[in-house]
Amino acid sequence: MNSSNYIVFGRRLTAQISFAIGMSLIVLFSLVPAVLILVISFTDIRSLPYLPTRFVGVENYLTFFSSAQIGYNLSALKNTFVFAFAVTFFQNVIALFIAVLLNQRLVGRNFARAVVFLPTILGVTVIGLIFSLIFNPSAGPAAELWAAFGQSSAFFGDPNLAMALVIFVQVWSGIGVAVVIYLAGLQAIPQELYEVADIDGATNWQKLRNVTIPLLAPSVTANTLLCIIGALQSYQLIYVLTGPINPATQVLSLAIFTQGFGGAQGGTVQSQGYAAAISIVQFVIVAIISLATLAYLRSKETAL
Amino acid sequence: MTTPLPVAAPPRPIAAREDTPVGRHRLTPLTLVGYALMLIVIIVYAYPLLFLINTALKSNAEFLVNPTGLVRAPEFGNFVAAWEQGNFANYVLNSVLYTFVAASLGTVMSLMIGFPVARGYVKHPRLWQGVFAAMLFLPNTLVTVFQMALRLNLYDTALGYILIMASGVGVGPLLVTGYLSSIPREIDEAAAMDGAGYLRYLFTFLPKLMAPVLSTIFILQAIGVWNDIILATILFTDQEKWPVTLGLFAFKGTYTSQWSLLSAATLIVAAPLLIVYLFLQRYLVASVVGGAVKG
Amino acid sequence: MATMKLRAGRARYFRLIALAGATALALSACSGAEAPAPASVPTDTAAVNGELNILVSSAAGSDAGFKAVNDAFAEEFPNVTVNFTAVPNENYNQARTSRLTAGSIDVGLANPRELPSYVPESNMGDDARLADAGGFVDLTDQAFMEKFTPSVLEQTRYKGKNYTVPTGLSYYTGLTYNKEIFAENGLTPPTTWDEFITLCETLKTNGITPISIGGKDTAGIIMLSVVQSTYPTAQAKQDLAQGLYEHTIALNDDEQLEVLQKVEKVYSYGQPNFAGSNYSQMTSEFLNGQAAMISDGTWNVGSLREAGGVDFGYFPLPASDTAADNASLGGKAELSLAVPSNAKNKPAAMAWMAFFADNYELFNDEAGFAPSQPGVASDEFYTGIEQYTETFEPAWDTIWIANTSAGQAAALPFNWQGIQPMGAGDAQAAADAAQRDWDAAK
Repeated sequence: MNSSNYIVFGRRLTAQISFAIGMSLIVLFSLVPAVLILVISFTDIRSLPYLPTRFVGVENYLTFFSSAQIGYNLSALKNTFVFAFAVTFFQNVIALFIAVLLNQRLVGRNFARAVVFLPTILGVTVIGLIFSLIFNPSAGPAAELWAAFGQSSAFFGDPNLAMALVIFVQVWSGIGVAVVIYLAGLQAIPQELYEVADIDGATNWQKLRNVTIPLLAPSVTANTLLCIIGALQSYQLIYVLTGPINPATQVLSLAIFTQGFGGAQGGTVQSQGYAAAISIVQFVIVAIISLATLAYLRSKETAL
Repeated sequence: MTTPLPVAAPPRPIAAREDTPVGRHRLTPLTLVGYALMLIVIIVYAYPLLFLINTALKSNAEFLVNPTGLVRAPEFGNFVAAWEQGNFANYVLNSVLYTFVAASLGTVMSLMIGFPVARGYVKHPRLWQGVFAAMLFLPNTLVTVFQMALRLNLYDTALGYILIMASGVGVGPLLVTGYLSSIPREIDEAAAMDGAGYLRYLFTFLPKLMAPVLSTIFILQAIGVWNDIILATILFTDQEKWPVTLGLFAFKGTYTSQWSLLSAATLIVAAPLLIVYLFLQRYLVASVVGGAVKG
Repeated sequence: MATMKLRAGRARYFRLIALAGATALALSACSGAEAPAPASVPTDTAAVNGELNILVSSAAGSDAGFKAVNDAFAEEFPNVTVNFTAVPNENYNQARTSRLTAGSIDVGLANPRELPSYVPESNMGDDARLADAGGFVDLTDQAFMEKFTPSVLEQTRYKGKNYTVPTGLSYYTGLTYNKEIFAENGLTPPTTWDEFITLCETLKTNGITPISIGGKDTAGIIMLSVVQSTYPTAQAKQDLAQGLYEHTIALNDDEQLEVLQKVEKVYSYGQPNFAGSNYSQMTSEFLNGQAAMISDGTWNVGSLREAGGVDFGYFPLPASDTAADNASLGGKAELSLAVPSNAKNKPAAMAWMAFFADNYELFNDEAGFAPSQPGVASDEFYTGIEQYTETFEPAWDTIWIANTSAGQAAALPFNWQGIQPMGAGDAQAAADAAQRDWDAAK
């Protein structure tokens, strides 16, 4: 037994049993269903009475990769990477600064915290509505601002501008969660360290770089991970702002959603087995990126 | 990764960040910059939100004619109309119950599984960290969770809904393990020497030390449960069990929706969560880690 | 202690795998084909009791209509409790699938679309498969079906049988126009393509936006309107679909290309930057008198009237040079109701359907659709377009069955999304892209 893992509380069994109890609900309703998704991806299940389920092997996967939509899927993949990395970078960096800012002793910072947090609670539909209205090309505030410079634009309808705007809205609505997590992380930093740094004559910038950021590393990890995964998987906002098949902004998760889950009244054409298969494809892509990110960040954490 | 704390430093009162009265602060240039930045942040966030309130105050007819401009004839009655049309009175209690129980359960579970992994009390802690991360991007399991609930006789039951929602702990365990790296093992040892058992430490000592992160986990999960629409739609047949979010259905149409009422309704639905968040602000204070070491 | 730990860990893994396997088996066993229940007939009032679960997709008008019917139904059948649930359209399929699986739905929406022989079977929808497997009660011979317009029932038939009751109709291949603006500029609804172009040019010269287009929501309707004039009858559309599937006609030549060219021309009369406009903006420009027409469906008549201020009418977009081709509006049946075969309360469901058919006016007065029964007093708006709707003509998107293995440009011909400003190219480029995707599809 590793001495640094020596349990000070007596028997290890209590820890393990309480761990198992805690995990049991998660295993039952989160992990087992996920494994089952893998299972049904090899069938053509439709989850409807009177319709039989057949085992079809890898047919669903082959359909996804050989479909004429693969060209669109690749372009969606490119959009996805642009979107994910831009959102992750901006959201994390800006949220960090906002969290540090709102941790200072400033009047009205609780109000600021609440306002920054509000988008998290409001939900995608309404946020999509607001920004659709703000960026209305004919009569919205943004249009009036553009007109003041003698320009007009289709905003979300302009293929060159749409992606940037979508990134902006996504970052805007996601900063609240990141700020909350950073604020919690900031509270873990003992006051003494700042006081010691003050005694050593450190400037505010040096305090930020040498005390705050290193000790905030676990929060950075959690936030970055959350952000990357969210950006790779999120499609609702893009769907509401620019529609399901806009080539300028279609990301892979949206393509997957329309192929697997979109359906007019009349039921879907694709089986749920197919939807499960492409969910697994997305899972693998996101897994590779996230676990690589996690490994990298955790190693930077311990290095600090 | 533990930073050595000045154990032998002279005794000094540990100032929580809230303590120093703001008024006594000198107005340095840096503080002015801080205020300017904060103002920018507030404007960037408050403007769209004011836009939402602006939309919520328009009557349906006015929204059709004037969707983007300032409201001409504010209809404060929209909030009352939204409350009644969305049948929120019946659903609010359901939402409160589901959210409170599921989020509490989820927070407790995050703690129960995060702590042993952070301290290495279970085998393969790195593997479990990977599992915690994987839980963030599992494929959409709605179909299979529904089938399981059906076979476990949890279909159309509040218990089933709460259990499934509680299991969606999201980023909780990761936050716990991350935060714990800043709580040195010496504290564990000190508590153990004082006679605390594992469970007592886990459920009485740690929550005080980890108040910020636990309240963060709680509010994040609470938002997820409160705003959930899709699981509630497919799990509940009985409208008596519906949470508040399903009341929003009354405003959504196939071709158009009643946007102004929907905005008002969304503000109503969001208000309780905002209050919970403001209430939990007091827990986002500097940790008392230093004090525990000294004491 | 080490062995206990090991056992605990491995036991957990085994439990996990066993549970997964068992559930998979259960899943496959339980959704196996069962013998479909025989169709039942409505019974007398005394035998109708219990709970009746109705699930439809939500809309302000139809919700009010259903409420009126349900209230009257509860009075006549006091022993039945009606549980009416309306769910937004985007969640409807998931809600319906789960309730069908749990067997907790008595009346729901369905739209089984018959698959022509030339379409690969992989494109069959859920409802068609359900209908084939006997999942819906066959309503063809029920007495109450005779109350509905025969041409509508003909278009909603599936393999010779009617499984659904159409609750209303909506039309969308036309333009809503501002009567006052037309009068001020001395214009009348055009009946040929040339007249339409002249009309638009006149409006443009007078500083009025001819058509306000909601690029993000409704730009596709213009394509459907042009198709309606180019292939006026259902047979013509079916021939088009068959020709495309059998590759005897292509999307980028002859009449097919002309469709996109005309769509491009109509787009040139839209407001600037309309690719970023949404439905709200388009409607507000119309209601404020800045635009003379909007491309919209008749389902919004209620909200336009509620906003007030504009006297409006509706006419088919005349994309053909022959006036006769432009004389009909294409539409679809809204909210088709069906009874699943595994409904727990079939007597009540059938009684409700019969009651609905008998008291259709209660629903139609609120719903805002065109009536699917002949001779029902309807909104003056629908009376005003009766000349275009005598026979029910299904619109192109209700006849075309998409090939799921085709690329996006060929999902719903014709490729209006590829035309500027919605897309990057002109009509020829969009048509070529669509044909490329279509050729690549299996």
